[in-house]
Amino acid sequence: MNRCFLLLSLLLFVCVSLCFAETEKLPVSAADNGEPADWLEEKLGANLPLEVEFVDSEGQTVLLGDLIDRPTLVVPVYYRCRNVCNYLLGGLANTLPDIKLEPGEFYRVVTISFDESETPELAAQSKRTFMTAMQGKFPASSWDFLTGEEQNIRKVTDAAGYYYKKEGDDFLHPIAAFVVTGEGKIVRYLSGYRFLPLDLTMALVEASEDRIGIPIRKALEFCFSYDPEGRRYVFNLLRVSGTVILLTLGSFLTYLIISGRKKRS
Amino acid sequence: MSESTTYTGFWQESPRSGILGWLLSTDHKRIGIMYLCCIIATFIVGACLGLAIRLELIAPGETIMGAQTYNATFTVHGILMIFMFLIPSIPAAFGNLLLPIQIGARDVSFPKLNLLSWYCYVVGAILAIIAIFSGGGAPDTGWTFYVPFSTQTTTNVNLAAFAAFMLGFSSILTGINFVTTVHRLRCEGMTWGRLPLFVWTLYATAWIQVLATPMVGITLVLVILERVFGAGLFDAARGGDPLLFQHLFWIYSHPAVYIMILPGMGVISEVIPTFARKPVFGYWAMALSSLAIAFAGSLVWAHHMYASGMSDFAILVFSFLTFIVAIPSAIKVFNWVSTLYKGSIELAPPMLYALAFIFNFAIGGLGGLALGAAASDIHLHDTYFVVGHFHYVMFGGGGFALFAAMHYWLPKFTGRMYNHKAAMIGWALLFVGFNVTYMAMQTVGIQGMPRRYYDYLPEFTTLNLVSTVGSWVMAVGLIIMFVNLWQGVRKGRPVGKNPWGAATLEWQVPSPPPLENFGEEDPVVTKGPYNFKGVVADEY
Repeated sequence: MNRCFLLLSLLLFVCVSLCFAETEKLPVSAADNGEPADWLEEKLGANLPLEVEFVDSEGQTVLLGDLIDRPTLVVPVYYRCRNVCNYLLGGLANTLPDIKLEPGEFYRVVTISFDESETPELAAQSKRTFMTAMQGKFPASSWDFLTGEEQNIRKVTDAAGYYYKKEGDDFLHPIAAFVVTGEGKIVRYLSGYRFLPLDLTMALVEASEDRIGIPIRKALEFCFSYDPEGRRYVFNLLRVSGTVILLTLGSFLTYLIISGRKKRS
Repeated sequence: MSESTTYTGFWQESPRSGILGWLLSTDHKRIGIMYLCCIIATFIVGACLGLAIRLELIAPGETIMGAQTYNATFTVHGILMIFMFLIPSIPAAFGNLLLPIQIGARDVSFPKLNLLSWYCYVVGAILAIIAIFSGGGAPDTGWTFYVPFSTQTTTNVNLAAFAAFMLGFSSILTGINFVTTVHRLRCEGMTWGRLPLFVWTLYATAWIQVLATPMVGITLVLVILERVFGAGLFDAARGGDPLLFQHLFWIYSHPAVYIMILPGMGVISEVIPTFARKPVFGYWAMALSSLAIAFAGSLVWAHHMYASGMSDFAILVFSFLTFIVAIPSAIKVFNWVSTLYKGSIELAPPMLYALAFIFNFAIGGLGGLALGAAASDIHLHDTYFVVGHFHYVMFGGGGFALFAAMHYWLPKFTGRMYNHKAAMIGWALLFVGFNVTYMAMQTVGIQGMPRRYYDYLPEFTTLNLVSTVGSWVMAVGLIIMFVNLWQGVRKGRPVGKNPWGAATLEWQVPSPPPLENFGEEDPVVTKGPYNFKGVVADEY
């Protein structure tokens, strides 16, 4: 029986090792057509430039560093977006009232338009929309809607590994936000347009403690990371678990067939 | 006979006395009885919820409950009936009671693991009950936990999914135990060709349990990860795939349908030869068709997803494979009927339930083909036809098989016989009520009534009223059946070893069987399980 377990463990080990070995061979370079291989390149630990100027929704010129003086959620969008940006901001308006941290005191939210042609009036309009949606459950002073010049925008988005491209009237861009510390260090990326309150809270707490990521998150990212170029999951959880189940059961059946009926004492 | 009045077999013989003698027992019969008690309790609760659903639908508009309560009610009805009643009903309860005795073994291969599986079941059941009454309220996703709704609803889906995960774990442990027991613990002379057909179906079922259940376990854990950590596996915006959930869920849940029905077919294959006094027609065809159903049934999951937007080619393939499953199922039905042909048929209560099974299963099975064909499925998808079909197969098939098993084997395990006349009245009401309830559902489904709504258009009123009245007739039948069986267990006439004159091994040991089943000497088998030559029924 012991030998059988040993054999099973060995098989499991080999199978898992094979999956890991496969992971390392994945290509990570950029594609040939000039577009980034990955529209969002996570640069955890990198610093945002804080000395760049933007204009807020009231038309005042502000330094990014004046706004990012505590843990901050930075959300790159463009206000004229007819698609996912509104979902992203809407999702945020849905989640923010559920965050148990004090807005303004503990953290703030900064939305930056990456369309240099957009004006403070558009930003103000967008702000009004989402503040109305939150029905006073979030202070307006804690969520800024910025616009700015192209080189300033690029400085921030490049530092965050957030790439976008104008195509006609619209932009190709990732759907993501990121959390930075009071010093502008990136501690967590949040993908998708619907953030879980727990996710966002954890990220803001990490930012306040100047900590990057948490083990469970890392484990999840390892299990579920998607390689956009290869169009597959880096660690294919399903294939691995399926293989493990089939190998284990195959060995079990072989053992049963070989050992035959039990001898009666 | 006089010995039977004082003899109580495994009910008295235990290393420990009192309640601990049950809770810590590794005797397969005691564990089987504990499972049986749990699943009957679950069934009664689930049936009450089902009656409440039917009552809500007696007339259009809100009658006894609002939309959210209705959603929660049908979800809990589904979770209880599928995960806590049907899946463990025959395999875990009657499988435990009978499998070792039928192959001449003293217990299962891993008795402690067997007890652990019961505890996993109980923990899962308790968690499921807590999920109903705590957190954000009872889950309202339907028993299928479909994403994206299940990842967004604020009801208590996390706990309910974890409960289902625990119940699945229990199922896997039982499967491992049964496979090993059949391979390793058959007594002398018990060759594969002499295994009772019930054992063959349990064996096929056990493989499905072991192979498919881990998939649903992983899937439900992924739903929890998605809800708690936002893993993004089912979210297209983050590189996930919303259809992935449906694939993963049905890879388990379609074979799970066979976990529910296969052992039921095994029960019918035991009952029919006994009451037709004839060897079963086509033993090997029956045995191998069980394996064929288990195998082919694992390849048809995506027929639940024709309307999900998957490719036409995939629909074609899955439709074809679905029709393939009909072949071994039909082999079984034809062989049961052929066994009855020219038999000396005795219409005892277990036989009546077996005949009702064939009738209901044939209707449910043929309805399944209408759903398996892509063209008609597009019309019938998400209508009451699906609900009717599912209940015809699962309740009319799996449920009636369980009732057949209870009427057939309870005298063996309690040593007492119930009242036959009351059993027949219960059966008749149940059979009529069942068909009125679900045939009306199928018809209203063909007319276009969608499922999962607490309200409907006025033109569906008459058939819904008929269906609800049918459910009351069925409920009366169920009450009569359960009360009669309970009276039989408590003060029925004592029976001897073999009241039905059956030929499998369990009928050669005393009723109820003793601890370790076979006394000092292990049995030696010299003939097949349906060889009735020289077998005489005991008077009772």
